[in-house]
Amino acid sequence: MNSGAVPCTLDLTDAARSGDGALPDERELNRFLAGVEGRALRIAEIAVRDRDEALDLVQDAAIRLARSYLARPIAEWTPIYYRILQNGIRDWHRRQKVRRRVMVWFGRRPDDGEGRDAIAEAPDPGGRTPDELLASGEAMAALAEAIRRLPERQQEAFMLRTFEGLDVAATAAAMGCSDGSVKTHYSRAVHTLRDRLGEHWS
Amino acid sequence: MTSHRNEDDVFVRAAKARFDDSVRQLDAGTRSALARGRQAALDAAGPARRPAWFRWMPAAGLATAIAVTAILLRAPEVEPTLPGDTDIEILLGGDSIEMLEDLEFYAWMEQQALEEGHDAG
Repeated sequence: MNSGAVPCTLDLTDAARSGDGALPDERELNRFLAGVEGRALRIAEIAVRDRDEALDLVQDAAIRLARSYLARPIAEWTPIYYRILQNGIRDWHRRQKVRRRVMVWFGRRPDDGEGRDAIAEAPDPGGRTPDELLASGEAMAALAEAIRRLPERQQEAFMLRTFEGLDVAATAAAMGCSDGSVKTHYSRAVHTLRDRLGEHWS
Repeated sequence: MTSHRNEDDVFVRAAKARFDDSVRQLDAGTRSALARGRQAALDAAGPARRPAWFRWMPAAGLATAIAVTAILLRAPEVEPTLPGDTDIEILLGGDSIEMLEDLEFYAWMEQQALEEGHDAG
């Protein structure tokens, strides 16, 4: 997808090499992953529509972060982690496209989300009424579907800025593009989502 | 313009709230799977958590080996002493090999030979 991205502002290869040798404590890595993994899973799940695939992507991102980028300052872990995750999601989409082409070539209909675990996806009540949970779930489902219809880069910009709360610079580092590109993608995403979901969505 | 931005902000806050709800509602099985993935990452971090000086261990070992080699090469050579006549006589003699293993006796024989030489001189 042509997003008009400019060269990456965070060179991960260089980042891995140029660490100052400080030893991040295992507890810090554990705390970081525990804090980010739930949101990362939901972001990946919205992108790939499959919880198991999303779990694999989140785990791969965590392992790659742990193996290669621990020497970086902890403040940089979030954009690096999401950069790895977004790369994983993009690779996943590429593989799916190839898989679909192969399936069509063999005359078979690609699997479209079959085998999803409805029980695993069922909400866990947290003191609210079923109606409230249903309303919340429906609103989120509508938002997720609207996000999936956005161009890939707009999806990334919107989810990293809104859901993960990254600022423009960190989002640019995670996406491998300029601050200006992030602002453009994000602004277009917000306007498109508002148009699609309507004024009464909340 | 400002009104438009406010509406955007309201929408973004609502989207964030819905998203956070969906994260809070993750079921126990999913949270368990996330914890297993996290543990796998912590296990994978093992080699990376080695101290910085650990990376220099091979170079330090090589430097030590070079230094030891240089010291040995520069050390003054010590000429090996030739065995004395007595030693050769003993070795070439027909005495039992067990006698050579008795170092005290061998030393005594050598001492005797030296004393005899002095006496003759």
